[in-house]
Amino acid sequence: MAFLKLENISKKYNDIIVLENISLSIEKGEILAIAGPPGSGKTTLLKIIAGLIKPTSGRIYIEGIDITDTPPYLRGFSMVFETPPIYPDRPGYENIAFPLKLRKLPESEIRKRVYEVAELLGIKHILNRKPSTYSGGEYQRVALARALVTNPRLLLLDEPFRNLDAKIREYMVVWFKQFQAKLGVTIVYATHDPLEALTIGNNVAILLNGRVKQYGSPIDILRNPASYDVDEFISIPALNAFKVYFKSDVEGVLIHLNSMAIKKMAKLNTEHSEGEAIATIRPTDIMVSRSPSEKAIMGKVELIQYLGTNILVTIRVNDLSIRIVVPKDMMIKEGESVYLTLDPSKIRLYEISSGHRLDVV
Amino acid sequence: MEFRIIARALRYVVIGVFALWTLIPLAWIVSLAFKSYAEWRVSYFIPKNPTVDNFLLLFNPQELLGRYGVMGATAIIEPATKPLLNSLIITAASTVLAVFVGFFTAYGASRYRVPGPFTLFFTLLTRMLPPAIFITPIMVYYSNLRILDTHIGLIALYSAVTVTYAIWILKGFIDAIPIEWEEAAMLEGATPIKVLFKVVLPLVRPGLVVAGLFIFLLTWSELLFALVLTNINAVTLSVHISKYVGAVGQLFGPQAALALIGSIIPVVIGYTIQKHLVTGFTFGMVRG
Repeated sequence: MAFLKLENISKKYNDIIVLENISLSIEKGEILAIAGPPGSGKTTLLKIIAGLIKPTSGRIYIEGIDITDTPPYLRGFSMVFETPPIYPDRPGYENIAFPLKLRKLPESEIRKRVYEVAELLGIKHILNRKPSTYSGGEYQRVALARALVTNPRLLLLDEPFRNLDAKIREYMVVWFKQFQAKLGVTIVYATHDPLEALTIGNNVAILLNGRVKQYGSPIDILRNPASYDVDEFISIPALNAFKVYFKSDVEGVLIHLNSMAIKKMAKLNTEHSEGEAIATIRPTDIMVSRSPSEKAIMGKVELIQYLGTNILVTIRVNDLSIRIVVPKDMMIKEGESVYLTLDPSKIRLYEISSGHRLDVV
Repeated sequence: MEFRIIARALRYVVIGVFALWTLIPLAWIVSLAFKSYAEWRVSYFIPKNPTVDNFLLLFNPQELLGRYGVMGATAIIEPATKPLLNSLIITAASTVLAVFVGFFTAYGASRYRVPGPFTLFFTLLTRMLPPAIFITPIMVYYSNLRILDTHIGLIALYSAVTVTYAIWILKGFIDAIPIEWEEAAMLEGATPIKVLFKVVLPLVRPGLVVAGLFIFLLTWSELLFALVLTNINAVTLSVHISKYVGAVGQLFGPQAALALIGSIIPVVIGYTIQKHLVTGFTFGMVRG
């Protein structure tokens, strides 16, 4: 039996649908990452799980027990919000001890548990300091400490590392993953960053416009996005997408992209044997070489953008612009002629009207 | 360069004029309070023979009567002790009541949108019309309720007309608290009532102090309502000051002495609570 189970959760404000038929489940001790752009309904979903917002319809179960109508203060969950609940009027110790004081635990027990969790998170030095003196990382850890000190059944995290700069965030995400493995607490983790979700989650749900568009393991989502919008959301830098004409036969599909024809070995998930479709390929999945080879397509470098670890080049092939990531030590100049090799297995086909995946894996 | 010096000089002149404008009457009161009868009507500041007689006379009306005879006889009936105490009790009670009620109303308005924006705005109405408009009906009501010249009567009226300040000041403070800070506490086991007292109340403490001080000062110096609604029992300080008028003229000395006492009290209160104003309404958000 799943530890936490959401069954057809929907939320409407007047006529605006915020969440539609969300069904998810988490096993005990796992991290479920919910990834979606801002406004996709992540926070609303977390607050529904927490009991702070009532769903319009649907049920929530924890270990098989229906808790949909249980008030938040009886659920035994903790949540770290985007604006972490660190009260500026009291020092770190009081902030972390707050939930324990609510429970009227004896002072010695409170002290013991606060120091334990502070030790674990490496924030013992800030216990007597007011929040205005914390660094970003310390701030987030105090918030985490406060959420963990009660030994919650379920920990809900809403973009807990959003306010940190990129380097600290990367460090915190990795640290957090190890930390969770040690602690074994069950977590729902919401983030706008697909890479963060894929790094941290045992399972990932891609939430777009209030619907779960794909739910599965990180590797599955990364390799086989179920629809065009998922592919578009998880691809960084932005995807190459082209309108193509396809013809399928017993051997595979022939994809016509302007004057090019690319053969892909795949079966199609449609009754039509030919028609229009969207073909996508990630900028990281195309090879660029300066010398010609068999099957390579010639193009002209149009634009060079430096991404830090590598270079994003836009290459003109006839009247198409294709974006490709190349290693930063490749010497490349604007206006230069280069040769592209497309791996047909990396090309994905989507139905134009619905965005559903067409090629069967 | 020259322009800057002129600008700077001009600035000090302007500040100086304003400072004098506000400080001269105050200085005059201080000087008057220590002047003997002979000097009340002379124009120099520093008393030739400084005396504390005026202060002593405040608390000893018999002596006052003896000294100024008929001039003081029509009005001086009570020592200033009682009005002082009355003012303290009435002002403190109505301030506490206004801030207390104001806090809960402000919370409801901020978080649950009750009583609705119009009603909230409506509470300001009592402050938009001149108080003289209200005074006659209130006197009739009070007379029927038999609470004319009582502490309760003044406390009720003062807290009713000042509660709107408490509401609007505190609503601003409560609006500034992220709702997540309350939700987190709710998840951690706090009922809504506990959230109110253990999270919101401590966080708006500076707001309570601001609202309280503001209302205290307003109420402390109020004259019109007190003058109409009190007679003997609940006379406040400001009313009592106005009573030092005889058949022949005003007793400037005792009046100034009482005014001085009356202005020292709020200064002392303001000074003792100022640290609550300064400390921490720093909602220091996350720094990267």
